[in-house]
Amino acid sequence: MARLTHLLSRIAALFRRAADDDDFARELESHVEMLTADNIARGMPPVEARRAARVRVGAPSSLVMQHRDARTLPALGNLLQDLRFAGRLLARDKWFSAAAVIALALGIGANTLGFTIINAAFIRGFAFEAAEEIHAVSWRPTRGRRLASGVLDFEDWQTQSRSFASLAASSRHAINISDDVATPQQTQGASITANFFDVLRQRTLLGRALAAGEDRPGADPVVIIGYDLWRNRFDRDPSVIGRTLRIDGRAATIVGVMPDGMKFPDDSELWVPLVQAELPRVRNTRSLSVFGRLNPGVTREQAAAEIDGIAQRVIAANPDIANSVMGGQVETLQSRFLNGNAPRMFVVVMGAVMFVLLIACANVATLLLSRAMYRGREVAVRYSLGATRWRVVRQLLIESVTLSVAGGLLGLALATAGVRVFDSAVQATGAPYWLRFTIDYRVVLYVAVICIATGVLFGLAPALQVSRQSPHETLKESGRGTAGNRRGGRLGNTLVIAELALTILLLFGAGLMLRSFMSLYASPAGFELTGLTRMRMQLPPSNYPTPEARGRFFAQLLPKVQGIAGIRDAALSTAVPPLDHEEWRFEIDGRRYEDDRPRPFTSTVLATPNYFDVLGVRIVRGRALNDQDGAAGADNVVISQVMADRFFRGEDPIGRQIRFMARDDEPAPRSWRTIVGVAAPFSQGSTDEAFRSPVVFIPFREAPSRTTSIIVRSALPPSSVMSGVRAAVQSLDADQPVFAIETLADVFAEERSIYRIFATLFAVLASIGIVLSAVGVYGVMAYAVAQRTQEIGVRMAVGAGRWDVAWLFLKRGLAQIAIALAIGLPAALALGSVLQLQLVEVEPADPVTFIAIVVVLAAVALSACLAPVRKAARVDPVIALRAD
Amino acid sequence: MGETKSDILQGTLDLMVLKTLDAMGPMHGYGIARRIEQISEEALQVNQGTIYLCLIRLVQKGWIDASWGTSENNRKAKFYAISKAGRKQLAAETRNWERVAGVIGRVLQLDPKK
Repeated sequence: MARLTHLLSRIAALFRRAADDDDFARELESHVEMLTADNIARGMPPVEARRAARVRVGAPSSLVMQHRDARTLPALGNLLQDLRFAGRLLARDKWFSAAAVIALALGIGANTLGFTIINAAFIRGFAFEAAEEIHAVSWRPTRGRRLASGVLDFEDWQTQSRSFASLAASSRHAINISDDVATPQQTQGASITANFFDVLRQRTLLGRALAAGEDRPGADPVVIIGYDLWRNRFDRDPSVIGRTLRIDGRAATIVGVMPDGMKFPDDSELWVPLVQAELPRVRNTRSLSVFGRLNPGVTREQAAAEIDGIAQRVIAANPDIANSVMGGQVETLQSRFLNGNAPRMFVVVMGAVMFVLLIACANVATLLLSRAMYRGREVAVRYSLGATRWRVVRQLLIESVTLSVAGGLLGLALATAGVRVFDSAVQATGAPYWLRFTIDYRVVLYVAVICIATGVLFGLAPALQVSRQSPHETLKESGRGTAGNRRGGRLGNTLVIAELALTILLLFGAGLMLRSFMSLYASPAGFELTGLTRMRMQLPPSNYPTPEARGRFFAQLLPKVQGIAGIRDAALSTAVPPLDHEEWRFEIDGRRYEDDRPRPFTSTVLATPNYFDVLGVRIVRGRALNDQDGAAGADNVVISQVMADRFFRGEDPIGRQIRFMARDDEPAPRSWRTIVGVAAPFSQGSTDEAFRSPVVFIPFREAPSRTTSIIVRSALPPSSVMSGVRAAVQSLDADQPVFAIETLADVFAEERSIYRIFATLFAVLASIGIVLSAVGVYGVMAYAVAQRTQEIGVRMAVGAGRWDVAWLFLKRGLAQIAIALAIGLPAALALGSVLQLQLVEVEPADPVTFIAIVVVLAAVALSACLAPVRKAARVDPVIALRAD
Repeated sequence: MGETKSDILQGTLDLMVLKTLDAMGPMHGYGIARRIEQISEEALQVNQGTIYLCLIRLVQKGWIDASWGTSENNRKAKFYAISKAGRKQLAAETRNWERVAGVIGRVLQLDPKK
């Protein structure tokens, strides 16, 4: 305690040094006077008495210094002195400092945004206590990333695994909720084992989580609701606990409310007990997501090995599942919930912002080096006053770190604004609930480290350069030339070339990403989007247990919807372009297949006959589906153009037969179906594969699905379409909600907006790179001109013309650009092929990108040269030669 | 070697200053220096000015307080007074000193012949 107060008061004393020195001098003086008085009292003569007193007390100047060192922290004091000096200097060179701080703010700001993304996606993770212990267990399938577990699998994981403290399971499904107060509503629900929230260590906001045994058959039905539901449907009423809510028509008691932001696992809004006993006890029905906490000291790899071992035993005992699963796997929550291209996209962004930061560093280093020229004499004077090289380098480093900290603060402010925009843009695309881009303490810490690191990185080379000179020479030269010797020039050149080459890489990478994202974003739908609205409904199995029951419902519904005034036509389908598709393996009649080889995949869509009419998709061969198709004996289908091109090259597909292969739960392939038509290509299947995935369109009446979309073509505004359709649905079933109402234009825009967001991000990064490198080129050129002013004077005096002088410098600028291109372009090609492996749609040698970059960069770099070159050409030899 | 000596000196000087202020009440730097010289019978002959390096340290540790006042001869002088924390520290230091002195004493009394 005393030690801390001591330290604090010593630090505080640093800031009142002069006053304290004064105070102590007075105290000493009073001491001397008292001693003198006593000496006189002892009989000394006054002069002698005073002299003796001074000797006895000690030399005041040395005592004041010792006192100051004891009172303050000398090391920190020096540092503060350096800082004050740096601050004064930077304030004096306003333009230089502003340029450097802005460059650094752009570099660090972009980098911060990149790290915020990485932090949100890979580091921060889920908001559970010790969330890093929680892992997901799943099957490793023969195709795709993972396959859920069946109830038997879950029991095997639970009983045989020793790696997990406990395992919980959930399965997602849409749940219709209704009560006597508000309109029925469709929510994203999760059925969970009773220990689910215990495994997550997640507490409720109100009420309780599930109690043990509430997931047994016959237990009183209970439900836990999410915060959004509580807020929107129950207006944050705390007395909601104990109330009754109908879950797919069955009454259940609300026992708990989850806190805001808790939507685990799948943006869930509602949790009900998972009654395992009601699930089919077979291997090939898999609906459970399994999560568990690793025991202390168990690594993910160990757990994965164990789970895989269990999985292999299960496969060995059940050989019929071997064509869909290969083994078991254990994933972190992040990799379980971040799918598709997102993780790779994030890493690419991080790479790009690293380039931006490096360019900013190279840029500021060139600026510092240019300025170092003016520092030569100051450094020489410091040396001759006895400063060590370390002290000189330290002083210069403190300056650069001061710059980078200022840049970092500004960058953090920029990043905060940028992150906010980015986050709300990404949220709007329906990103998983836990993926929120915010600046937290980790990001701030990262910025702090980056600030210091960049300050040292870009400051060290110029500092060593400046401090290397001999004070002798510099002072003799009366401060001219000085640090700007040959070596300084070479360093500046190298830095500029490095900066330009880095910029080429950045521009190239960003350009490729941009072009691929834009082409994905702009890819046409293949039909007219305006006027199309989709709505989705999910019929609960409790009310509609069989396809026949569902078929009856839809058969009544469709004419009602079509009859609504202002609605031109309406179709039913399991999929809405460009989304939703189920994949099946299939084979073609008359083709030879090797027995054990897996058959190819195709997307399948169930649709009513007028589906193509409503969308406005042409049938290019044969005919569309009709009302008889799908009845017994009329197993007819329409295929997509892609399917025809890929599997019937040079043949007429009309009249050919295909059949879907058995899945795990089916003993034999399904029956043969006849192809009656080929539909023109349009965007159906996953967006990434728009136009590229084969599709088979199956008559809807054949198997009316639980989840069905109504697609309506109408000139009415979507809201009136919606209320009309809702009234039609509820006239048939008052408890049945209609949800996911969107225009198809919005569906497409939302599905693709992620590409626009990332394209914008890369465009911003590329622009920052261009600006930075332009400033760098300018800085070095201006430095060269200023340094060689005298030489220019001499050249002009002996007859060189303005053009000769201009060419002297322009030549150098051109050489820099040429070398940078020679280094940067091959590197860019290499980068392009790496990116293409990752996620680029465009050829890496894409000539448009290439030429654009060369032109842009050369133009920017050359125009950055122009101002200094003009200045060189306008040097007045008389003034130049007379100048000091 | 020089450091060891001044370290010992520093520790003992702290103790002596605290004890003096505890026994005599508030005093100025000159008074403290004179008092310590008298008590040590002139054995500690250092520059009187160095007493202030000790005083500032004690002030910053919060063991003594300093304020300007008027001396018995009507001169302006800075007076130091022991604080509550200083008394506690003094008690602790005294106990410590006595224990160490006791141990050293016993060690020195050991008779080599036995």
